[in-house]
Amino acid sequence: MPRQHRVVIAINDDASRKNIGAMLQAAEFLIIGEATDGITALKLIRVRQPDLVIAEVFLPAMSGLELARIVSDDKLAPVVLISSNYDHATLEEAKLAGAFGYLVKPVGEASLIPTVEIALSNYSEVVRLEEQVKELQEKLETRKIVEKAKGILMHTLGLTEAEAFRKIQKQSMNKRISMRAVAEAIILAHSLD
Amino acid sequence: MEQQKQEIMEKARQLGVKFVRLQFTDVLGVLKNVAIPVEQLEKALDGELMFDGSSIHGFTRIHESDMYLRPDPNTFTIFPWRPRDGAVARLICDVYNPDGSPFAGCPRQTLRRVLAEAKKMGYTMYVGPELEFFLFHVDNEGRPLLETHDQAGYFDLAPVDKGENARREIVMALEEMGFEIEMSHHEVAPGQHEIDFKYSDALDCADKIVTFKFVVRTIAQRHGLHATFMPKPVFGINGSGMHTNQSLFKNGENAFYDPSTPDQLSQECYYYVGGLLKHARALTAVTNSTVNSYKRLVPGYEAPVYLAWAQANRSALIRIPAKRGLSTRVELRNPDPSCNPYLALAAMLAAGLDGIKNKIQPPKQSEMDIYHLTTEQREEMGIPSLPGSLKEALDELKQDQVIINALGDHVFEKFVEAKTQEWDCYRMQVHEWEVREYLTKY
Repeated sequence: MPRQHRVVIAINDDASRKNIGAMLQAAEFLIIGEATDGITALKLIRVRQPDLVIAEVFLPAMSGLELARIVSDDKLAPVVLISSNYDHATLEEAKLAGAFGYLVKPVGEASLIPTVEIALSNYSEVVRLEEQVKELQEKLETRKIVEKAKGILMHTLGLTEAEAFRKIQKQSMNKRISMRAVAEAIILAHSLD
Repeated sequence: MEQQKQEIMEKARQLGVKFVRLQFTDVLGVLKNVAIPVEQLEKALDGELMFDGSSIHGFTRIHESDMYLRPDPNTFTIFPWRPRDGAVARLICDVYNPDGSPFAGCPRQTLRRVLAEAKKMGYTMYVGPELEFFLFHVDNEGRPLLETHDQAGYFDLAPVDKGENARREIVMALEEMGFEIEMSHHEVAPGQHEIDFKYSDALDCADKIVTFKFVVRTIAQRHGLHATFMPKPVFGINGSGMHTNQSLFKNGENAFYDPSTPDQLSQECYYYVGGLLKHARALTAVTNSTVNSYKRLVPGYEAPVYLAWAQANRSALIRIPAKRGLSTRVELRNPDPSCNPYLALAAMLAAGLDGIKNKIQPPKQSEMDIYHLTTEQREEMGIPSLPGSLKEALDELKQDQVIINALGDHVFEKFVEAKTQEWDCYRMQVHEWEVREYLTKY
């Protein structure tokens, strides 16, 4: 059996919170925390680290939008928002807050479960892509720095490009530090004179 | 300058900065923000951005409201909490008049001016602060409470204190912003924390103090907590201080260190202490600038009360920690984090420099526990006290020309005006204690 997804629900009104909790439980989700206000929800999410957050747009103390913004900025979990209306302004704010889904009350199983499932899969895709972007950015940055260091070596020691690259590579292996660190040291040393 | 500008623009581009906050403080030390889209960054860096100074406390009168912000490129940094729609950067600014002269009501310029005076004497001031603060819960309507424990019992998973998690993230955020954190720990009182960062030159340090307060408040809020730098939030437990370690450097050497003397302290160090002690009572108006500050400066809670100095004694106002060499320093223990750090550092430095200029010998060190002396014993030993209230401190300030000169007339007038108002407002309130004490008695 695959691992159950762990959910925190933040809905002010008891009846609809219980109702949504029951629908999720029936679909094999694990409810690990419930809150009736935004602040308590935020603390619960920080401490219990759920896979998914379901939050009402209107919440006391801290609105669902503010909650979603913090949870998404800090990459804690995907947030699905729930509201009784879907006016343009609220939708815009929900987008800015980084919500992964938006449901309009009354919420039935037929809309809840697909929305939640899609949010979870989109979120893991976003996380994967973000990691990839970060990795590529680092590689690109390293390449730029190594290029620059190569240029310095070619110019000052009269080496060919391949020789300069080999020199950096060798130093990196001998000193057991990254090529980027070697390249940065070369650039720094060069900027001194 | 041009190169630095290009570097910042490049960095902003690389990091995907969408907005830049131009920051400065008013006379009371409140951090102000002017947010601009990144497209205006170049204009801002050229010092061409204007704002309406009349809307800000202690700035100007209405007819001289146009002020220019000139960002200090060394203060460029990215906020670590990164919104999805682009990073936010900040720059701390100096405020200038339309004619290009430094604006007299800008606290950062006040500190710059006193630092320049020190420079003329050959000195650079280094400062290492120790900031304390409380993390409190908020109720389910978002209002801060004085609670340090969570009554709902929701957070049974955290072993010791929910503050630990928030503090860890605060430390991480500060480190990302270039702070070198020396130490961070839970303090004596429940919910109280201390984070110390590495000493640096006074201007950088003052910038770091305002940044620090801003970061702590923001991260706390993002954890559903409220951070306060109020000096004494709860009666009966320790308050929050900002012990200020300070030293002067001359030609790259610590001017307070002299290996040839028995205690390895230089004559300059003695004079600096003499100056601090001489001006301490006036200085306090600036370093402890709220009504509440004086509720921290009472006996029994590790806060200083009496004008004394010592090498080991932690009950003294000034302590000289045992470290020597480059780390030789004077620790002034009365400042609290509600002060305006630019003005506080300017005033402390001016007091110390006055000591050096006029060769003010400090009184003998008191190595005994001054808290437990009787009033008569203290009088016999000639140990005066710090002011007992904001009012008393303001009266002292008004008579101390050295500190007034350090602040400059504009800042001094605005400061005293605002603080006198604050005192009067407090004085006229009927406090809870009075009702409890007198309502049934009379």
